[in-house]
Parts: sequence; C-alpha cells; structure tokens
Amino acid sequence: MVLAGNPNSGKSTVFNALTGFRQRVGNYPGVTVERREGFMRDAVGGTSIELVDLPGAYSLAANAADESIVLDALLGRHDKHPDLIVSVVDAANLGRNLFFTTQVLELGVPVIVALNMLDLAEASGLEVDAEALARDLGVPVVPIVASKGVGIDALRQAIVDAAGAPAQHHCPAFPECVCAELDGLCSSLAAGHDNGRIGSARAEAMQTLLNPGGYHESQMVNRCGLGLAGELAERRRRIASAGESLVEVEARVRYAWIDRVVQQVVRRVRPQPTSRTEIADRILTHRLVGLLVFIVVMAGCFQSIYAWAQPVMDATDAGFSFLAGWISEVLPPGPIQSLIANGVIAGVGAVLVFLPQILVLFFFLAILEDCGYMARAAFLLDRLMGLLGLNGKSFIPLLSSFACAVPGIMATRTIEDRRDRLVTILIAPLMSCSARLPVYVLFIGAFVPATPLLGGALNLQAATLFGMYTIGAAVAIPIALLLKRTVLKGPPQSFLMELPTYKWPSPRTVFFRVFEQGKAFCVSAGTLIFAVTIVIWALGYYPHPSSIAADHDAQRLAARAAHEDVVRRIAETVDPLVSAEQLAARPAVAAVLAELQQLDDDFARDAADKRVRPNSDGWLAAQREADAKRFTVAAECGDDGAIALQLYALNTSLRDRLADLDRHESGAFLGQSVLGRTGKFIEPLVKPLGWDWRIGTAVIAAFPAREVIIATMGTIYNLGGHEDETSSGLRERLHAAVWPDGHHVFNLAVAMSIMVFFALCCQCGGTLATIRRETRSWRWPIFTFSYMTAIAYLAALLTYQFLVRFA
Amino acid sequence: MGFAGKNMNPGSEIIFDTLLGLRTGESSTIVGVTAAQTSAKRLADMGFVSGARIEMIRPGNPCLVRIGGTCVGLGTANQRCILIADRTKRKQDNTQGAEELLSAYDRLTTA
Repeated sequence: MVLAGNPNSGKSTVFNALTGFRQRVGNYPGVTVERREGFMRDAVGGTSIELVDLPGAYSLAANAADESIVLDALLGRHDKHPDLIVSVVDAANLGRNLFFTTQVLELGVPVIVALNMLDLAEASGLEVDAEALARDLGVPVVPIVASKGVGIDALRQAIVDAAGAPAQHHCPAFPECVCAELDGLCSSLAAGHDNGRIGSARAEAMQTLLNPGGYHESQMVNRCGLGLAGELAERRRRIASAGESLVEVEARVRYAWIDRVVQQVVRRVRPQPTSRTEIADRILTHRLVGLLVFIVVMAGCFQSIYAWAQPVMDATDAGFSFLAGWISEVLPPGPIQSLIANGVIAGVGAVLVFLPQILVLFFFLAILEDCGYMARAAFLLDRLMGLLGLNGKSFIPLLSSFACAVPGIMATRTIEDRRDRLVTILIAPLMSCSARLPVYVLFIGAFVPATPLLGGALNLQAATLFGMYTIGAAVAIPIALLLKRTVLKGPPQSFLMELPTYKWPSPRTVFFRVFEQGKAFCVSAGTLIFAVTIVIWALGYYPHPSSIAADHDAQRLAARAAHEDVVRRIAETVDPLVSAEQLAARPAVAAVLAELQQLDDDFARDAADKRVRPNSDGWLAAQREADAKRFTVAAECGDDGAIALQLYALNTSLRDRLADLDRHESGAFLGQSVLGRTGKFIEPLVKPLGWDWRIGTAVIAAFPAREVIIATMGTIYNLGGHEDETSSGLRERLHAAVWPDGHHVFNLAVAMSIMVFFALCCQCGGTLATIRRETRSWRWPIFTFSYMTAIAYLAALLTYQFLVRFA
Repeated sequence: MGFAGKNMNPGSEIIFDTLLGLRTGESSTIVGVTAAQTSAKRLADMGFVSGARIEMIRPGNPCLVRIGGTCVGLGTANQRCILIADRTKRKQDNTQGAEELLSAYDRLTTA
C-alpha cells in the first residue's frame, strides 16, 4: 500500500500518523531518493498493513532517474504491485493537487483520496465538499487534518475497507488522436513490458510519448531499441499535425476536467484573508532583509551548537577519561591493556564526545526544512548561485554537505542539467562537513580565547567556527566558476520551486530525522573509526622492542638512586645517626612536607578548574605565588622547615625526571613503530606548516576518514603520555605536547593551519566512493582528491607562515 | 517586452507579453507556454497552462507568483517562456490564435 501526493501536501505527516514508530528509512536502488516504509495497524488493532511513503511528485512525468521512482514504484517495479494507493491532496490547493491524482487514478489500482489540510482551507475561506468530490472521482474521499490527528482513524478504516475493492474511477478523456497514438504505443511497448495491467501500461506510454527528451523515453529506447525512437517521432508528428501541442495536451485536458470538478466541490464562503505565510514572506523573501534574516538564522545555529552541546561534551569527555583510567588500573600492563585503554576507549570516546554537536546541527536543519523555510532560502540564494553558474537547486545539496558530503552529493540528482550537477558534486566536499566539526571544536576550544564580540552577542570562538565553515565556501566559488568556464561550460537551469505555506515543524518528523542521521553517524563512526582506531593503535604499538623499555628502566633506576643519594647526604649533615627515612618521618618535617604537598595539589586543582593553560602567563604567575607561599610556610618552622623544603624540592625534581623519562620512552616506542617511521619520513614536508611528525602522522591516518584524526591524536598522545595523563582530556594533552627541544608544539598558528588543512582537504573515502558512483568514472574522484589536497596544503602553509609572523 | 506576431488574418497584429512584463500585484491569464520541451512539460504539469490566472507577487530573478492558490518561484528563463494576455488589450480575446502565435514565436526563436 502506498502513499502518493504532491510535495508539501502533508503526506509525511499522514505517514507518521499511521505508522507511528513502526517505520524505517532506506534507499531505492540506484537513486538517492529516500524510501520510507512502515507498518500500520487497522482501526481495530488487528492485522498489520505494510505502507510505503513515496516521494512527493507534481506529476508522473520524469526528467531524471530520481523523478521516475514514483511511477516505477506505482508500477510495482521496486516491490510488489501496490494493492491500494492513498492519494493525499491539499484541500487548499485542490486544483493542482488533483493533477497528480488524475494520473494515479488511471493506473487501474484501487485509490482512496485523503483530503488533507482542511483546516488551512477553512482558514482561507474555502469550503470543500468531500462527498461531491467522491462522486466526481468515483473513489472514497476521507477528510482529514493530519497535523492535528483528525480523521486518521476514519482513514485507517477506509484503507482496510478499500483494499481489494474494484477500481471504478472517473477520468478525464483525452482527444481522439492522442488516445489512438497511446493505444498504438502500448502494443509496441507491450513486448518489453513486464506486467499486463492496462492502466499501468497506458500511463507509462503516456509519459514516454508526451514528454519528449524525458527520462521514460530514454529508458524505453534503451530497452526497445532505436526503432522505438523513430516510432515515437512519427506518432508525435501525427499528434502535432492534428493541432495538439505535445507538451501541453496532458496538462490542458486534465486541468480542464479538474476545473469542472473543483467548481462543484469547492465553494468560497469568505473572501481570502491575507495569510500569515504571505505576511511573513513579505520580509523573508525580500532580497535584502530576507538575506539578512537568513544570515542571522545561520549564525544563530552555529552559536547554539557551541552553547548547548558544550556541557554534554565535557561530561562525556570526563566519563571516557575515567573509564580509560579505570581500565589501566584494573588490567595488567601489556598489549591488551594498551589496546583497550589507549586504543578503543580513548579513540571511540574522543569521537562520540562530539555527537551532541552533530545532533544539534541536524536538529536545526530538520526544523528549517520542515517548517518550509528552506524553500525561501533556496529562493533567496538563486541569484547568488547563478553567479557561480549554478541554480538555486544546488543550494540544498551544498547545504546538506555541511552535515555530510555523502548524502549531499547524492541529493544533486535533483539537478537535471548534467554540468550543473557535476560542478555541484565537485565542490560539495569543500563544504565543511560534520566530521570536520570535532577538529574545529577541539582546536578552537583549546587555542582560541572566548573573547566576547559585538557586546557579548557573539564570541571569538563561534566567529572562528563560522569562519572555518566560510573558508570552504569561499574557495568553492572560484573553483566552481573556473570549472564552469573551462571544463563544464553550459547554460544554467532556471529556478522552479513551490514555496509551501509555513507550518510549525512536526516534533515527530524532526525527531525521526535527527535520530536517523545521528544513528547513521554513530554507525559509521562506530564501525569505521573503531576499525581504523584498532589499526592505528597496532601501527603505533608494534614493533614494541623491549630494548627501549629496558634502557629506560635503567635510567629510572639511576635517577632514583641519585635521589636517594642526595637525601642521605642531607640526613647525614643534619645528624649522622639519623637515616633519611627517619628524617622525613620526624613530625615537624612531615607536617611541613604534607603542607607543601597540599599546596601543590591545591595549585593543580585550581589550574584545572579555572582551565588555565600550563605555561601561560596566568599559570606562571600562579606558580610564582605558590612558590612564595611555600617559602613562607617553610620559614615559619625554622630548621625543620628548611629541611622539608629541600626534601620537597628533591621530590619534585625526581618526579619531573621520571615524567620526562616516561615521555621519552613513549616517544621512543612511537618512533620505532610503523606509524612513527612514516610520520618522521614526511616530517620535512609538513614542517613548513608548523606540524611535527605526530601531527603529520595523524593527518595521514585521517585520509581514509577524517573523523579518525581525533581518535588518532587521542591514541598518539595517549601512547606518548604516562598513566597520570589518562585522567585529563585530549585538550590538556595537546597543550602539554612538546618538540624534542622542549618548546610547545601547539599554538594558535599551528591549530589554525591544521584546521585550514582539514577545511579544504578531501579526507573521506565515503565521499570519493560516492562521487565515483554518481559520475560513473574514476576521473572525477581522482580529480577531486588531487585538487583539494593541493589547495589544502598551500592554504595551510600560507596560514601558518602568516600567523607565525603577524599574530 | 512584447512580441508582435502575425495571426492568420493578414493586416492585424496581436501583442502578447511574457511574464517578465507583469508588475507587482497585477494579475493576468496565461496564453501559452513555449520553451525547450522539458521545461514546458514541467511548467505545464505544475499548472502553468493556457487559461490559468497568474498573479505577480514579487518580480525579479527569481520572481514569486501565485498560481492556483500556491506561491511558486520562477527563474528568468522560465518567466520568459510563459506568455500572458497583454494587459493593455483587455477585451480582445487574446487566446484566439494562440497556437499560431506560439508557432510564430517558435519560428522566431529557433530561426
């Protein structure tokens, strides 16, 4: 059983109302169009009926594979032949909606009409007589208001009653000449037709004959041979010579019939008031003001992403760090412990932490689409898109690419012009996708200060995020122009889109969309990143020569021995008969030591709470303050205080030395691993970008899937740190990262160069695979990969060199 | 902005206009749609057929029109394809001879 109807007729609302949560989304093979199917119970709650929500269509005519899905599904090519078609029509726009209904009525399948949006019709002063419509069409008509749930049970009942009932529809009559040609064509096509229903065959014949250059024609010619092309031309010539306009005849005949029906069925009882949509559109479609509103809306989205998701992200980060620390304590050291704590948990956790941000982004996109604002945005941007040589319909695929380029590229199928479509596909990966978002958030959060701008309405972090998104779009413009001027010349398609009435977004629709997208991200994150994380962990762990461990253990031993030596000598100076331990155990000394230690802990906790970065100005000032306090405490206790202070200093330096050794050891291990060796090999290439070999390594690891960079960096820096550091988040670890000579790897310039590289590089196997599938050749994915990598490298180079000198 | 086309009666001229000539708030009747074939079928199926009333809400590129109760956005090329009854000729039955005008227009543009 299928649901068919115009876009914006409320079809999806009806579908959701009938199926509730028992629905799922898939794909029709070979096209990008969503396939929604579900199960509904009949009114009594007994049997389950399978329901498919077809894509919205104004007509069965098709100019692209995507558009032909509706007719193909109705002809039973994708599943079983439908037992019943529920034609959802918008009562406020009955005339145009009935066009598609009349086409559907001719298929020979039982039909029910769901007369939807009666509330809106009434609000505009129209009265629609459902019974009269039922009489005129010859089918049951169920009045409903799907958004409010009115009439849904009646619809359920009608569906159950009508399935299997014979079809007795009234249809418009076509002129003689057309009918004759259609009948003739039907018999020609019957040879290649796979089901014997007369209505279906005729519908397909009509769309083949009356839509010259359309999709069905090319499909038929492919199937039946070039002889068919000749036959079609001949038949069309006969129709034209009979005085009928080929492309207009169907519309003319149907609308004439529909007008007569509508006159009897629809009555205007009140003059049409100015609708709220109209009033809103006066502003929202205004060339200047509307555009400003659009910019504000988009900026609001990005600001909200930061504001709402931040607390959740922090909580998740802490949770995973705790888990990793716990594993490190529970399991014995060795490959397994390292794998789980440093590979799996650290890796996957570091990515899932950003799920909240992604959900918020999808949430906004779903709301904007459901309320009808997206069409206005496409309308406003059409001229701008036109400057790129594209049309407004490119906007939605490009906007979708901001979430993920893979469905965005698939959505370009709505663009009929082959060249426009190709250009859109080639620049889609430049739109910063959701996988780049974790990279931006990580580096912006860690290295860009949250300075308020514009009096607190915006802050520098959000502005930088906005900027990163803009970079991709800014680079896309000259690329698109260049492509359009050289490789892919051609005239643009003209804009044609309905602007639907505004409606409150349905919570159920929004929820489903966000849930589906989130699930898809999780699944791809879960599987792909998990697999790659394990591989990266292995590449970074093996080979694991024990000589390095032995060497460092020896050094640790030496350091401890030296420490004990000095402490013993201090003890001897004080009192030759007292050992070092007894000295430290003396109550006065112990007390001061404890207090000094407490100061230390307080300082560390304070720094973490206030998120003060190590070695920043604030941090150093606080250090000096703490040192002064220590002196004061020690001085108060005279000799014992002095001893305690010395012991404290020695302990601290031992601890630092051990930490140093740990870091060095991890670095040595990593350097010996496969990953490390590759990274070091390319280090000269990436040094001008301000990167060290670890960053270079992580970037390489991210080429199959850029989400992996976070996991890889989590892994790399985990392996490069020691146990204490597992309790801090990735940010703190980045701040602590140092070059071999000690100065910090990461600063604003490096962070920006990494982000710019990510903004412009095509690091996504999924995208390249999709481009290959959509363009049916390897040429374009290779081209995309090459040009984007080259631009990314240059841009990152320029960014780093500029910022390092001037910022 | 208007096109002059000869109808079958020599000596008389009928002026018709394209949608580009319609100003804000004005209504007119569609006389015909002439275009590259795929656009024409698409426009026709959406309701842009001879005899339909069309009202201009916001001219420009793309423009916003109301047709059959819905608002539709149309790009300039599409606007150029939609022929409307010239507003200066109210009483004249401009729909007469529309087919001849259309074929004349086609000949003009494809020549």
